[in-house]
Amino acid sequence: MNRGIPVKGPATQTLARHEERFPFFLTLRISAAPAAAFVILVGMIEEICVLVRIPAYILPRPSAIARELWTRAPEYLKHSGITAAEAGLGFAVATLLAFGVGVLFVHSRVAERSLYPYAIALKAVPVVALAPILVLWFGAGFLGKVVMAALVCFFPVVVGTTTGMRSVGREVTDLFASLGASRWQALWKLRMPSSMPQVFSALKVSATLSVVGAIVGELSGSLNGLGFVILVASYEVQTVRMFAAIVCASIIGIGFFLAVAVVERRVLFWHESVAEVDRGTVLVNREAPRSIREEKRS
Amino acid sequence: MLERGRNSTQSSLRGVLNGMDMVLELRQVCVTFHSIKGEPVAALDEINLSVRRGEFVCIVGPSGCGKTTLLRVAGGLIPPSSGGVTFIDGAVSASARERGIAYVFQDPVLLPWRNVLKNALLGAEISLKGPVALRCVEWLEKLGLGDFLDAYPRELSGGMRSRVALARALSLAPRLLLMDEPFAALDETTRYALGQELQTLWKSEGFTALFVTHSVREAVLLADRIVVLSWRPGHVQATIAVDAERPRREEVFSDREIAKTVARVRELIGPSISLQGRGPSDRSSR
Repeated sequence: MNRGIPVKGPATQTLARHEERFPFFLTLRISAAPAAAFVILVGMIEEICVLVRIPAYILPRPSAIARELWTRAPEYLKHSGITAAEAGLGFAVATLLAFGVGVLFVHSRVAERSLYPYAIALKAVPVVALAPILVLWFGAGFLGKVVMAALVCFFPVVVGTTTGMRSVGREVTDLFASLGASRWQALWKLRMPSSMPQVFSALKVSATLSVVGAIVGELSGSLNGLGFVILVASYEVQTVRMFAAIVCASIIGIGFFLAVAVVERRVLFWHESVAEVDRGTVLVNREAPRSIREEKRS
Repeated sequence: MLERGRNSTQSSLRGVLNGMDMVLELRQVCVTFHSIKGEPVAALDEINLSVRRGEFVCIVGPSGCGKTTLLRVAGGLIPPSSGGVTFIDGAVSASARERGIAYVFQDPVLLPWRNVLKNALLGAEISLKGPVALRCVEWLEKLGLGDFLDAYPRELSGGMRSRVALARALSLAPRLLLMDEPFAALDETTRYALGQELQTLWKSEGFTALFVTHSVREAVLLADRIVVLSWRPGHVQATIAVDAERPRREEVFSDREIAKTVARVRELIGPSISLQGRGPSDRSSR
């Protein structure tokens, strides 16, 4: 039987119509496989922990981590909120700055030649090594972590915007020149939109990196946040808590990534990368897309 | 007005041109590029070409002979290395748009994030002129895209994309329409159909057209005059008038005179291709 390729047949069509009306069911169908894999994997770890009798201070059982998260939920929520705020703010600041720098580089060869090497140099500096210095400068509070997160996010976005705004073909450039477009119009109507695919792949990278930056900042000196939880737990050999904090951090990272991906889908609806996904999951079962319809003339 | 000409002849020339109702004149235009190695490469060699108001001129020639370069010079996208480009009534150093020139490129170059209507509106948006939205819709309807105003480029076929590009150019109400192999990427049938539509529009709207193509048949179908360029550096080998009633259809090729014209243009292009073997340097040292 033709399993796994739902193209025709009344049952799949009903399903498709149903999913179109209630997007929740579509989400459910798409996420079913990874969810099942997750359950199986976690169950296996749980069993192995019990069977091999790994001590809890080496590898706590997943159920123990879940219980820890559940019983002390307010505490974890608070620290997660702080880390998420640091990472998110750092990400936002870095994105804005990097976008500005990218625009500058595209419009001024001199600026690019003199400053681009330093942007690369900044990337080459191991930011982890900067963490204690940032604590020295900004104290053990919120600001230092924002700076750290921003530092980590900055470079990928600079590269993304610069290469993105450069990748404009000669004929489109000619078109804008023939229409008498100003530099500003060319930036706004041509370069910005056409840079978006590269910008968004850079943003997806830096969104997850921002959480790493914030936690590294917290590890080297702080009074709250997930990094602080991990640090204290490691002194007390509370492995369950460390794992619980890691789970929280992962959820934040995944959340950031998904948030960027959702915005990307809305902004880049015209781009092949997004269109491809549509064709694979939804359009298969819908009526023929527009292009297949007969051309009116000719 | 003269853009890059010799000042001494400026005023007399303008008078002459006005008398002959010229739209565009190229005098002794040479274009030389620098290759990657830094050596000068001649692309165009002393091109003389004038286009009368309302005329349809086709430029043909072997590929790589500088047809596109010629069009870019005519549209003011690149300056000639020497010689003069005159566009009547145009202000010195004004943009192509301000001088009433519109471009259609080999690729439709539609912006994929804009729908059909917004793509057609691009020119108007940039030059901030006129009651153009209405005119754009009209043009799109004339070109059979009335039902597709809110479709996005990736949903369109190649022929429809070319039509959007054409509508975008025509909605600027250009006095001179420059077309660089606009239908080259299309299949034979669509290409012919668009050629027919272009003929009709040209006749009813009365714009002037300069059309680059490498298809001799397309040139014969469309042109009042065919300008044949030689192999690089391109210079005008011959200018051939095409006399046949419009609209010209496929049947026109059974006409003996037209068949002769086709054969002649083919012959003119043919030998210059074989010159490639001897290399372009032989010709430039001529």
